[in-house]
Amino acid sequence: MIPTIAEAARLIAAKKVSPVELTRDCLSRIAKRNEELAAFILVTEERAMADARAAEERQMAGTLKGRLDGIPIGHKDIYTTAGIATTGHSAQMQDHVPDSDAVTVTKWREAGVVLLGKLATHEFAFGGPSFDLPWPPARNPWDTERFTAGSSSGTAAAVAAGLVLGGTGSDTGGSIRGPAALCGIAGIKPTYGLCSRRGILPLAQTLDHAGPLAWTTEDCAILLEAMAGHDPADPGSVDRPALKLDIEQDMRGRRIGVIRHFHETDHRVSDATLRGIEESCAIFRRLGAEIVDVKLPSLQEFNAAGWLILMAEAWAIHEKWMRERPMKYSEGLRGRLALGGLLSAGDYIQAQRKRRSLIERSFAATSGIDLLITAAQPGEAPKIREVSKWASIERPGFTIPFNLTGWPGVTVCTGFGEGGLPVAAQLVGHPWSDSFVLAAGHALERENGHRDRRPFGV
Amino acid sequence: MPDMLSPEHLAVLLAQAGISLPPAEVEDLRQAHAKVLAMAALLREPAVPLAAEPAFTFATGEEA
Repeated sequence: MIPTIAEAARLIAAKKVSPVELTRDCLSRIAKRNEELAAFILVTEERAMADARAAEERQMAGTLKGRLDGIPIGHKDIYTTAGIATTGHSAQMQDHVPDSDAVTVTKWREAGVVLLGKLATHEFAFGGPSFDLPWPPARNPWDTERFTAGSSSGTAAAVAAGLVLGGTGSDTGGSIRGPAALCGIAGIKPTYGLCSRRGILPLAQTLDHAGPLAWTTEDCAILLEAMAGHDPADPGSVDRPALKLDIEQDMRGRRIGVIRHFHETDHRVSDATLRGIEESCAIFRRLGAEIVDVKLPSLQEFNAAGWLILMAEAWAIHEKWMRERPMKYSEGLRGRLALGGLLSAGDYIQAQRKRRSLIERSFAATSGIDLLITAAQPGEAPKIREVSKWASIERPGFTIPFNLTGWPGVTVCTGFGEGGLPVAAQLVGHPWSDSFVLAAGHALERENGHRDRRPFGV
Repeated sequence: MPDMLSPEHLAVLLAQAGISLPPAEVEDLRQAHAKVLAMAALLREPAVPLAAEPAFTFATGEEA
């Protein structure tokens, strides 16, 4: 039985479980499953055991730092870690060992986490699975022939398989919420500006968000609370009071808007995904919320602005290497970055002007609404070998609208499709409503009962 | 704006950007680029007002 972070924290506090024991369990599962899942690209066993022993000493001395003390986690391999290779899952940085931690890595370390290692990502957090990199792509624990989605692919696979209890992700167009959906776990892209991005390899700075993935939204809340906070050295960070999350909130009287056109007409989702959204609405209605339809600008408009901004900013970051050593990228990323290199300054500015209009129209359409619900992915995970290298621009995605607006979005598992694989809903709120969005996810998980089912063999 | 760049036009743009790709990848890129052209056209339809401002990185509140 794999505990959630909340359960493990209670057991550690009550001295019923030792962090060393918990860490050994994770290491044992990693030894058993990682070759098949490729979730970790580096396991830091020595560091993990040292972290676990230190946590155990605090446990015995009654000086635990909080709920993350002694909890085994992993970091997406775009989070820099002092003295530990940080590669972006790319040959470009294969031997890169930074001398400092990302701000968020430091925050979790200071909260007492046990670092199990570095997790697979799509190369530099952009695009799809690549088979021509120094490490293979992560596989979905529900079916290892299936895609995890990305780019926080290793984190999602590791959480679903119980190799870690939680981990970091980043989300520029959906890279937390997408893999959380296909791997049947929870993940939050917080409000833009809530978590520092300093020390995380960037993809597109005006869209990049840092956030956690875990088995439950409650665990995401615990991880996010320890990750959030103003960083004056990150120009995207916002100075606000310390985040205090309350996930036990009353749904009575809340107004929940269904963005029906996103998942019914703009990009029609699978029957199971649609059923999950409808069942979620029924649960919220039963809990006393009012459900209304909401119309936002089309997914196509959001995606056009979002992907052009993302590609242009990613090109600016990778331009030098694309000119000097393009063959050190995977074929897939090389193509996606090249698309950014073909854009004009006019394209980028028009996309940013459109973005402003989209944000204004989104606020106007959601006045008086507490929460939005739509899909996070169109259906169950496709076969990993069948994912097109241009997938992100072939069909409009459900997640990038909220990278453009900066609004918080949570993925919650809503059941299983015909193939036995998980499907999910995406819950979204206005800026700084992260606490309520997580609370709504928690209420949904508590009522829908899907947190009791793990992948086969876990 | 054409629906798809000609191979010659793409070659010019790639050269301007300083991008050198294996020949086998260039045609694939040209096909994918048609989708980007469609997105770029969508951004301009309907045209935003003349004085429309771009979004600011920090515009995550109602002031956006």
